[in-house]
Amino acid sequence: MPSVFLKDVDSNPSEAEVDEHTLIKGDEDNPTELTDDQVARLRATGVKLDVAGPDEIDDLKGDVLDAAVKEAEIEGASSLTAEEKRQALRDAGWSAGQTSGGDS
Amino acid sequence: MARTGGRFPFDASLAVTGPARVLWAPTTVAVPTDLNDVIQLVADGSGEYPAKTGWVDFGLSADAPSYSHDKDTDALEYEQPSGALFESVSSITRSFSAQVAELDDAALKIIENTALTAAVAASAAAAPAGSKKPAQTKVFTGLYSGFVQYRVAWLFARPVGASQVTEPGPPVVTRPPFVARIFPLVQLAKDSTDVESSKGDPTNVEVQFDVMPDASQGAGKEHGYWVYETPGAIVT
Repeated sequence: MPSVFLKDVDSNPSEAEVDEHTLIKGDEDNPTELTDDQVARLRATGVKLDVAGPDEIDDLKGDVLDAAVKEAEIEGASSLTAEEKRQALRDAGWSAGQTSGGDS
Repeated sequence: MARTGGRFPFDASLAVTGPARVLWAPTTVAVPTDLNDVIQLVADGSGEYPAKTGWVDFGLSADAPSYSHDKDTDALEYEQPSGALFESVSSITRSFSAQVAELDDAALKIIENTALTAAVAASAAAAPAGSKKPAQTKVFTGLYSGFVQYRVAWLFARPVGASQVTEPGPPVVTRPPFVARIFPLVQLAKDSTDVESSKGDPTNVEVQFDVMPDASQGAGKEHGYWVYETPGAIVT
């Protein structure tokens, strides 16, 4: 089960609720363990979540990064730098499991 | 355009009419230097004039927004003359009332002077029928000791036929010039905000703002400005 928190970005509400869980915006120190279904339902409300711990998106490079961007249907990705692509993936709520990390 | 009309001359090209478009922005958005910082002044491919980044439309309203500029003076009276010899300005207050009929979290946060909202996820697919629910949005309300400040832009236009701006094509679009009032800093007024939902009437909320001075704009510019487009073609 992923351990997630509500990202501290302007577009996020101050709280997000799913079932019996309440996530507080920017509370990185108290991530909440949620099922994949709960994460998906929260993301469907438009909130941006981050997975606690090492950022798997940081590990994406080269073709694997491009594949993840394509899978997340990021528009205008061809003109983005690698770091901008990673940020776009985070903003889109992309998570590993859709594409594995790369080593190129 | 020259004034015409014989003994009662007028310039119809300077007339102004509604409806109005009212937008707001947080103070993290820069004070607009002109109208182009608030909305796009050339229609996009869909014929829309989208708000610029950071600006949000109040949208529907069931009443007209209004602006008030109140002045108070104190008379300097002396014993000898019967009547004031001089007057000094003692108070200048400007206020703006927006009319809000689109109630979403953004508008409700302003109305309730709160920053606290929550996104509530929909129920799981496997939830029992009695527990099934769609996603919801909450706007929390509570006590406060200060008002959040915003920027507001109030746009309306010259009447159709009075004068026109020609946008570069394709397709070439002509439209009446915009007229606008930019308020660099406003905050909720202490007056009451009433919400009423009655049968047969649109629910509309009047949100009153006091216009606050924004010293960063410089002397004589603290309360913002009026701006209007010059008729003619927008050169490409």
